[in-house]
Amino acid sequence: MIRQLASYRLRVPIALTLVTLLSGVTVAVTTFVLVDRHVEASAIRQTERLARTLAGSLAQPVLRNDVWQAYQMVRAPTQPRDGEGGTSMRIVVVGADDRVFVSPEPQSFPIGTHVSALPPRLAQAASSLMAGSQGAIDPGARPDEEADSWVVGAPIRTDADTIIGMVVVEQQRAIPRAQTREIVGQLAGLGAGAIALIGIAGWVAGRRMTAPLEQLREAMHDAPETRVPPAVDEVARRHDEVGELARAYRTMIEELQAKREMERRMLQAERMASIGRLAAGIAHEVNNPLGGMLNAIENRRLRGGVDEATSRTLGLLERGIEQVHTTVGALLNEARREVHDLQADDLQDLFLLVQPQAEQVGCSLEWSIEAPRGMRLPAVGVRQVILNLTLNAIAAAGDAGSVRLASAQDADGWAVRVSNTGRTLSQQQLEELLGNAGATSSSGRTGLGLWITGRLLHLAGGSLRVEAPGGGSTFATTIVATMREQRG
Amino acid sequence: MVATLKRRQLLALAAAAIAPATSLPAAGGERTPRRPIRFGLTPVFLDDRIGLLSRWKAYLSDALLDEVEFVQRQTYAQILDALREGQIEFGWICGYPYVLHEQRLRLICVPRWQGAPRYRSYLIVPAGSKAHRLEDLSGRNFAFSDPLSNSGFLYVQYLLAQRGTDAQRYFRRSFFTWSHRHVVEAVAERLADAGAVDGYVWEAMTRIAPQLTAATRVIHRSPEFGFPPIVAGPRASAPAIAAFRKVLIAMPQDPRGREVLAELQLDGFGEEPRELFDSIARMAEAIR
Repeated sequence: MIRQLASYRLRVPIALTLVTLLSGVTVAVTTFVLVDRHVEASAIRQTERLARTLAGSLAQPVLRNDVWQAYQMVRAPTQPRDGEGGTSMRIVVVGADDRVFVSPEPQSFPIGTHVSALPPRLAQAASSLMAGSQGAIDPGARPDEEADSWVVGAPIRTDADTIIGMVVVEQQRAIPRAQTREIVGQLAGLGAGAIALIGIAGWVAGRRMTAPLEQLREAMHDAPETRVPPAVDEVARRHDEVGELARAYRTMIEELQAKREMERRMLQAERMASIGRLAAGIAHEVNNPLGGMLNAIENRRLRGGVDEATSRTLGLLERGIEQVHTTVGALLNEARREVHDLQADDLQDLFLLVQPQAEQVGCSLEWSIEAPRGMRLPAVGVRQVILNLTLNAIAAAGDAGSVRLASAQDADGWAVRVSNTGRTLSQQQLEELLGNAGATSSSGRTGLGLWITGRLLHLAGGSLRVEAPGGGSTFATTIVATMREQRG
Repeated sequence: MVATLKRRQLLALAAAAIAPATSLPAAGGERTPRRPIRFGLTPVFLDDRIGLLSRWKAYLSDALLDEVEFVQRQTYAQILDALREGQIEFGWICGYPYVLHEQRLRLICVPRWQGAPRYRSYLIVPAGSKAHRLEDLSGRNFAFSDPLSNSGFLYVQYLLAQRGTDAQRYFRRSFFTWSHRHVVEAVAERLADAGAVDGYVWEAMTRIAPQLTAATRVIHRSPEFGFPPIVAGPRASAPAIAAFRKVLIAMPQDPRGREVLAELQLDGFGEEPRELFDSIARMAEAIR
């Protein structure tokens, strides 16, 4: 429970509700008390003023024993007003003989009634004033908290400052205590209802305010580290602080992702570098005997007496070894150790190299490549590219499959199309294979060959793309290698 | 405070204010600045009806071919003093002050009410009171109208004197309301346990303010006395007296005069002998 209370989901609505309740109750109570006190204080002042005024004007009638005039004076303020049932005021004028001189309610307080027969509070006010010292006017109003009225007395003085009587005014509370309690009760009831409604509204408002925060929290909680969940995007569209928070969170995740990607690439580059070093070591070891082999072929030629067949075999061997040598040189980043332009012979050699492979696998090979015209392309690189692509294609086509190679030349460059039946390779897969040396394609082939192809092509200023399988074509995949003349 | 004043008090104040204003002599001018004929009124009748007063005054002014001014004061004594000192020429006063100052006053005429120039004094109690006789009122509060009123003071004094007592001793408290109407009011509102009132005024009020008279009950009616007369003071000349008497007596012959009489609930005015007030004079003598 305490942990739940610590949550903003509950704290904000509860705080809103509490503030609403507190302010509602405070305002209601303050208003009631202030109004009650103010009204009462002002009413008491009015009563005191009335008592003093009456005392002043009653001096003559009391002195002349003119009951009727005094009666008319005290009757006026107690006349029931139009539309009101009765009056809330009692006035009694007491003479110096401690008897009622006059009252606007002669039935309740007949003339001549002794003070002791008056209601206690009136009697007390009258007698205390009479007994009081000559000068002191009792401030009078002491509203009894429980009584429903207050009593104010004022002495009637002659010009000679002799007290010849008392005016005692009893003023009923505008709202009797019992009614006050009733009103407070009703106020509390109605107020509680209203406050409850407002409280519910406060709760709902609080929940609404915290809802995006909660949404964000849940999204962050469930979020995988690799991508920004859609829920966060939703929150990020808000224009408030929570939206800002969500945007910041999204930015953070994206930066984290970029960092991870970079780390992955660095790791891969390191791996490639070590493979490169290994390959370079192997290449070096391979190159030495190859040099010896080439020297041996050269020596055999120089000794002469080579017949036609032997000469062709030697040529084949020489170009093959050259091929190996150049390939290894590519691994050593020593390209163009021996540079010559691509010629029809090179392409013919290639056909001779791959033909047995195709036969071994059992797929048909259609070879219609023509050497580029008027264009100088590095023979070793191009041979390696075509070799790799063709071997890949044969492997992909498999038994009873077919592979076709065709060349085309235009202003852009010299392009070789290698098509094969079998599985389809998409541009994306191709790029993955090009990008990730050592990655395993879905067909189970290790992509090192394609990666090397890509690099060689890059060195030769070429590019590699997958041609979308055209309508009616029987081939699943066509890879186009375009090579351009290197200038300068 | 003003707002809560009774309407009739305002009316009385207004009437008092009008009187001196109209009495100012016209300054200069071609016409002889004649002093208006001044007629003092007392609450022997319901004198707080402005409309009635203005109609009566208009009738008198037209009939006399002279301006008539009504003068009202709070007490009988003030009007009586004004009469005796010549500040006013004529006055409608009670029979009691007339018999007291007979030497200086001249009887002009006496109103006729219910066929005779006579009226009674009523003793009234609140409608719910258990009192039925004057004896029941001993030790109670009593309202008189005016010390110079026959029906509202003298008669009760006389009754008490016959019983060997007086108001001070017999009642717990007694006080004056300075008008018969206010006696009815004081008794109706139970300020007083009983009161003495002019029978003519009480009967007239049964029509004008029935809610007040209904709250009272008459427990005693006096023998008949001479109705409050119209008298002249020493300042009034003989021709003026004759003219005033003639105009008053002629009222039933004039439509406007009849209208005023109807409002006063009187039959008219008639010349009556001074002996009409002998019974009042005897009572006055008895309590002296």
